[in-house]
Amino acid sequence: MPVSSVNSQIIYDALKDAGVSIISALPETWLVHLVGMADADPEVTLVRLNKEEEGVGISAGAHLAGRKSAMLMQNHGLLTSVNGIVSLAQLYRIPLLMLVSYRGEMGERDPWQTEGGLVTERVLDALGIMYRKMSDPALAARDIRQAQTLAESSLRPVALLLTRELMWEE
Amino acid sequence: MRRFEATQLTLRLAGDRPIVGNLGPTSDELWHAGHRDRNFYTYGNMGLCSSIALGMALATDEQVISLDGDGSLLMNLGTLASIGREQPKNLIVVVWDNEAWGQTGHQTSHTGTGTSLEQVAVSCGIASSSTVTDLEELEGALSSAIATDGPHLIVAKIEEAGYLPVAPVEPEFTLYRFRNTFVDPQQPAPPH
Repeated sequence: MPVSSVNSQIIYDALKDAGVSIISALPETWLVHLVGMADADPEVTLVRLNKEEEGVGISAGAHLAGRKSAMLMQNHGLLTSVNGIVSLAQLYRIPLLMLVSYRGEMGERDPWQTEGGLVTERVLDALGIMYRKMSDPALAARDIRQAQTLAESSLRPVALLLTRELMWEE
Repeated sequence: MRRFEATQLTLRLAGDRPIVGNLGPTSDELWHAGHRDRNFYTYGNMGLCSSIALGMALATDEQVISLDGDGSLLMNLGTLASIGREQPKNLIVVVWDNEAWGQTGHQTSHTGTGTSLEQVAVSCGIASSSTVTDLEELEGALSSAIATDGPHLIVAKIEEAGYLPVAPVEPEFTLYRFRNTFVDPQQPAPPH
């Protein structure tokens, strides 16, 4: 499977450095190594979800108790989470660190990913969510550190879009 | 049993434990029954009450109580499976089950046509699940849940008796008050 394990490790290490100790996720091909690393890490609680919107609740609860968390999801999971993002995270001012695999962008071969790819950034814009596309592994640690800093200072969701260039090797 | 009396009983048994209240009348009545910093009133995010409580339970050693509702839990049934998988010992989910979407005009919910949230919860791995129909049974089930390892789920069949005024809560302030019972707001900021 040509998902980059090297870049996944860089991302995971940056999450740990940022103090993240609770991670929620659904299985997703591009995130397979990241989810596996969280699962194998005794210092991290991995919460396996049935729908990504649950993860907004998990992160909200973690924040209420003073713990840092992150959400791993595909961009279609972001789309299913919109009410939780708007009516919980944004209404109550809860920082969400969302790592979103960016399917359906340039190079996408799967037709079923393309509509979600088309609207992802526009949905983030409509929601007023700051985001950054991550494509350079050399900048990944900085990107994650800065995203978490902004989420914590703005008390709002922040999204990092994990691009094909970062996650896929072929 | 009337939900307001059941809420008063729950608050009495809860002591200082954090309570996450479902949106609408559940949170309104929680406020009227006994406003306190450790009540987190959710409004707007239907379905997520017990997901928030699960996140809290995984983030703290304290016992966490979720006051959910039948319509809201039906919207996010998957979270029962997530609770069953995680098996948080410190989570108690109480479901006020009036078998209806009460606030919108008492349309019959799926628990009024045969869905048993207790059986769903048991199937999801929440072995300590029960259904109670009066205050005495609720007191027994909740006291037992507080005294033992969970996760626990209590379906409390309730009736409504009119609505109390909407609680004068404000989301950001609700969060600030609640969270500050878990973290020290006076911690110095790290250098930047």
